[in-house]
Amino acid sequence: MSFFSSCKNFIIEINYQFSKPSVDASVFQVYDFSQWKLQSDSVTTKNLLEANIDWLKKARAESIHPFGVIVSSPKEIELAAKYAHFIYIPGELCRQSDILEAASQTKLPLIVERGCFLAPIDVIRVLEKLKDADVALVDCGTANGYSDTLLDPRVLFLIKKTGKKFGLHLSDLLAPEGISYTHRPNWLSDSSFIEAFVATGQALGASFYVIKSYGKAAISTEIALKYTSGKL
Amino acid sequence: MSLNKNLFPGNWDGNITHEIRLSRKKPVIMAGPCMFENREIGFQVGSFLKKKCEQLNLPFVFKSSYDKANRTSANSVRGPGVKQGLEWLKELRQELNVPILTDVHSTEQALEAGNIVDIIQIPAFLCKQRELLVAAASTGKVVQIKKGQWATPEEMLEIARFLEKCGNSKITLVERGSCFGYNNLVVDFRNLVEMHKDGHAVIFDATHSVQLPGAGCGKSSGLRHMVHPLVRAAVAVGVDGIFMEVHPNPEKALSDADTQLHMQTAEIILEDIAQILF
Repeated sequence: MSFFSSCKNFIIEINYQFSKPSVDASVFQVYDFSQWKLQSDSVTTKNLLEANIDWLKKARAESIHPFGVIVSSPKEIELAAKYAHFIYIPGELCRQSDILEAASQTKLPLIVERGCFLAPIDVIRVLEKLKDADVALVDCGTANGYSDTLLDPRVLFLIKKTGKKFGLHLSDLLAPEGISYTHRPNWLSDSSFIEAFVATGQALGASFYVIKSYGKAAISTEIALKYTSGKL
Repeated sequence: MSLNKNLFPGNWDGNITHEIRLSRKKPVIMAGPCMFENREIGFQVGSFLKKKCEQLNLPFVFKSSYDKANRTSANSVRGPGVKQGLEWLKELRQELNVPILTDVHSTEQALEAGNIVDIIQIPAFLCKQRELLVAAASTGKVVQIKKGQWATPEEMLEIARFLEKCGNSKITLVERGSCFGYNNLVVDFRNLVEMHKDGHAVIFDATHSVQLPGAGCGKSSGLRHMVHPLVRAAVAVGVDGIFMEVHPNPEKALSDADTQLHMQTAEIILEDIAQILF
């Protein structure tokens, strides 16, 4: 049975490295050790996931709810699979055959983002590379010029036709990660758009929503639960 | 950085090898078959391009990939693989006496390729992968980073700053088209200017810029006839290098069949570049 079928109505909160697990059973944590630290003043040559493996062991031992880890290579997938309950693959890597194959081989549930550059019709190619893995998909929006994404109902319609559970990445829809285009208009970051995203997701069958606890499009679990309460 | 002394950030002189140097006055031609399908094709295209570039007084770097790791379809051919591919690249480098560029997809590949090639290329989809950038920087080789089709030019400058913090200032940034709706790309020539803001060398990837990603029923399609006019525009704006993929028989190529250039077309484009420059 699919992990995602048994976990209905949930929020996924992406955290940059360490954070306290949520007490709310409907919120699953995802830890991102390879977060792109553009503003970092110090550079370590260590693999950040490898360097934090003790923390991950502890998290596994103490976790009450399932949690996931964001991965960026087959090597990281091998490490993460020892401790995480599920693997999370970012959109930028959704076409990387080695990563998808390695993730599939773990037999763990996989959450895979659709890259903002990927046509929805090509999601099926991504699923083919994942073979018979237990997969849920996340739509982060479609690139719309620089530092902006559009929530396209046609994408959700086509993803739904794959038969996979899917969710919407509210933080990325509000403001894609990375350094913003210098000329990005401020009105695009209006957080009340979350309501419109959730309404669209609800209408087209989204099962869950993804938020980030850090960055310029951080959304708290309280806000996410407020907008999604009773709508999942 | 001092443009007057033709130095790049970190006081890098732009030398790829002793003979081949990046310069706006004489852009480096980075060209070769998309995939190193077999030894014969690699040497045929490499010999041809080297000879032509020498005739035109254009610096030349041979480019080819040993692994196409993000093909649209799981069933597409990926290439000879890292071991065989690097062996052929090494042979070609020695026999033709030309610098070599190839792309890498993992930290392990970056370290391995760093022992052989002159330029390590980070693919556009991987342009923000921290571990890969750290590994590529550690080789001390020139690191060429392709701009993600969704990424801003500002992000590319931040990535370059990150590489510099890793101790490697030998950086080139590549424009290869920006997302323009689904299955389509557009070249934003402003990026050639924006990515040069910190003084880094900027390369224009002429053949990937005309791709129609995933538009060919399970593979990428493209607009090959657009390569020549876009190259002319890029040279006019100002770049340190032109990147293009060339194949003896593009229609039969195992990858990027709709965008790789016929050798005769590549010859015409190279002659045109020389005419614009000199």
